[in-house]
Amino acid sequence: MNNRPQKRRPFPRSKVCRFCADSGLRMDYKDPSLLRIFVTERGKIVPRRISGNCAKHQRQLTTAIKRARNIALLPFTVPRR
Amino acid sequence: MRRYEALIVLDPDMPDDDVKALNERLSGIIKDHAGEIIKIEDWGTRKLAYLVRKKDKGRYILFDFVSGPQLINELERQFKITEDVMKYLTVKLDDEVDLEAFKAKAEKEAVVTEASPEAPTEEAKTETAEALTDVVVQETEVTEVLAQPSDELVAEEPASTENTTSSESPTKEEGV
Repeated sequence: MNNRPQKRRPFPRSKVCRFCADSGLRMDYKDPSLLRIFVTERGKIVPRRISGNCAKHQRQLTTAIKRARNIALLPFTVPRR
Repeated sequence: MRRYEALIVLDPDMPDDDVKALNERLSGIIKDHAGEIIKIEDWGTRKLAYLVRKKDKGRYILFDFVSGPQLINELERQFKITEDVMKYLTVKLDDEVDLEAFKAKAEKEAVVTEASPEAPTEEAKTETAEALTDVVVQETEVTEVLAQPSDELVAEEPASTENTTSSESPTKEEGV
């Protein structure tokens, strides 16, 4: 029925891990302004395929975000208005 | 000896005197367990990301210290007992800290900062500011990206399921 060829559009992404590119940039659960960049408006952690982080740094990032959530520096969820 | 960091959120309505008293009590406990305090930071009252005990603000205090693992039990017990502590988080920063070496290093750093006042710190500040703006620009891109593929995914998924069903149904007919 549906003979439309499946087009895989190239996924535009930032290719380099920001933490690898800038070694001075340190991940810390105490710095919510930095962590907020890697969290969607709804409070979800942005996946690696979109943020372009390398595996190592993504791992560190998730723990940092989860710690920040625990101490109320970041939201677990942002409720819909 | 290990290096730990304990971040606690206090009731925002707590008077300053009480905060001071609590700080002293907690640092007393740390010292009693042969711990060494590196620094205590008071971040002041901040807005919380979500309500805690029906309050949207909290006072953050950070303890940075070196101690053995036994202290953490006692310290967290104290956090639980104390009514004013709304939330707490203890993180191990480092295993195996040599206290003497650490002190020596801290002294050295203090000397360095005294020798070259302000100039390097300002540089660092501008650098981080640049990095931040850069990051913000990239972030807007990311959100745009987010909006597109979600549509695409929704469009693709039903199509692929249809394909599989259509490929299955002819074989069934053959079988009949």
